[in-house]
Amino acid sequence: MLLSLDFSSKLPIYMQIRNQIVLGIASGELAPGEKLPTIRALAEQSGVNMMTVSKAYAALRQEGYITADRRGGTAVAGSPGAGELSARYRGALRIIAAEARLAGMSEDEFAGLCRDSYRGGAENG
Amino acid sequence: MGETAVIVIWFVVMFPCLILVAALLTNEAKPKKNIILGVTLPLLAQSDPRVGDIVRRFKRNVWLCTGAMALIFAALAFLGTGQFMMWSLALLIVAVFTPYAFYARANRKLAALKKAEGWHVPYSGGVVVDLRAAAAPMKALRRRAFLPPMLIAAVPLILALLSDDEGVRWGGVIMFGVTAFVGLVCMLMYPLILRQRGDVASPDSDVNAALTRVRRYNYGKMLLATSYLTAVFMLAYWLLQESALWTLVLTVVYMFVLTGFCLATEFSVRRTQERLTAGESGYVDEDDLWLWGMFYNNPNDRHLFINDRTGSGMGVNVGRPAGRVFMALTAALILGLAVVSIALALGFSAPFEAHIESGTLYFEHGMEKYEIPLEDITSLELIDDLPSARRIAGTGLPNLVEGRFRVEGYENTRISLNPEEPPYIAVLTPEFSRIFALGTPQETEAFYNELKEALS
Repeated sequence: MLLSLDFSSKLPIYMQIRNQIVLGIASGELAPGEKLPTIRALAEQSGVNMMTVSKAYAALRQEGYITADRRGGTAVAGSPGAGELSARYRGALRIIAAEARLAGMSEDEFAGLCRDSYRGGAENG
Repeated sequence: MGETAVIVIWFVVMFPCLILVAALLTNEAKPKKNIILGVTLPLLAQSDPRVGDIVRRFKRNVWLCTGAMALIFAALAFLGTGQFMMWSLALLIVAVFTPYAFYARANRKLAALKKAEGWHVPYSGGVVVDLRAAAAPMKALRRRAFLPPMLIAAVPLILALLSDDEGVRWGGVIMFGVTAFVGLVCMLMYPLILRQRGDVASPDSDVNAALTRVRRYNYGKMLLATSYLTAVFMLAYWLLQESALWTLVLTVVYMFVLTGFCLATEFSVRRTQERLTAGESGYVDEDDLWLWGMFYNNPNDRHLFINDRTGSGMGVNVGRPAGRVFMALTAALILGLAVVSIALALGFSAPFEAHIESGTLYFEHGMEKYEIPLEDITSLELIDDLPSARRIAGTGLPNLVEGRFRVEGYENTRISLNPEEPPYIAVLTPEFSRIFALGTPQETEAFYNELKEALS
């Protein structure tokens, strides 16, 4: 799986790393149990600070997407399987829905877009 | 050694440099990792006739420029040994860098065509990392592999340092110290490649991992070969140092073997990169991070040293302040070298001048200048044969011997003369000796008499 970092984006680098790994897991590009680079290796490969990678990994670990232990390193945990979105992302979805409505999209169109994104995450990422 | 032989040897050493630069640059026109002349192009665009046209013009310009420079080199041979060597050094610097102007121009043209046609690849404008390839362990050389050549290299250095003779000591430190330093630099440079970004040119992690492996393996091979070859060269040089011919032959052989090996390795890496990505449709585009396709400019990348886009070399990230300082110093060094060689070339044609004024002897030839108060002179001789002399730092050409030398029977000696025009004047003081001559034997003899009279 390729991780692309856009330094001109307003989205912080650690969030870009976090988001792309989540997308990779959802699309199946990163299989459960698959090893991820160490913090040091990913920092060296991407040219970003180790703290940035550490922050992204910490967020992913907290959300249950990855596991980390001293011996085995960092690996994909798969889907946390909570069955629902966290309050934070439900809030974000509400804002996106509001923006879609203001942009003039119909409910069906927005639902279709959500469906495509949901399936895309599972099929091609 | 005759003047013609020196020119031929110098030409044999310099001329391949021009060919190498041209060969390396024109090789950049072959697509590797979907990059042609520093521009990432999708597979279909690579066969576009307009791209082919830019590439053809670029190659033609580089080879024409190389040919013209070679002709100027040949013409310089008529200036005589000293001037030829110094002017050719200045010209070599110009000749090596001029083709890069053609590269930058072709790069801009290709980039403009790419923009106009809207050719793009899936990943553009950012830094891309292959997570799977980055997570895979990769074999690396152990540092101790660099230790044997360093130990070999230390032998002549230590022996030179233990010498009672000051000239041998300093000569040894300069000659063997610098070459021993090469081994250390190779050892310290190796870990750099392991900390660089891996190659990403395909959606297939196996291909990306293979590209990274090829680069790292060959980079390590080149550094290891450099340190071992340099150590062996230095040892052989030390054993044969009494023979000027053998040390010259050894130096030329060493340069050719080392350059040949490194080039063969570099081209092998490029061929592998070409082969591994031949069928790729173009995947990762980092063109925006490369100025004129040559200089990596990414202030967000904390790396100071970075991989070249193709081949196995390394460059500097000019997006970082330290990178800019590094580049400025390198440019100043190259410019300085050109200026010094031009000054030396002018010095070769400068006249030998000496006069006595207010009780002081003044001597001048190009950059070689000194003054000796007459009251300090303890001995004055007119000699027809130059005593056995070993150069510490300076010039030793058939028609010019100049600089600091270790001379049998003289202390702390500087020489400045044309060995083909005896006699020579030897001036001794309690602290140093100077051996010099003027433009013609008559002038030298006349000045000797003048000096003798002034001393009496």
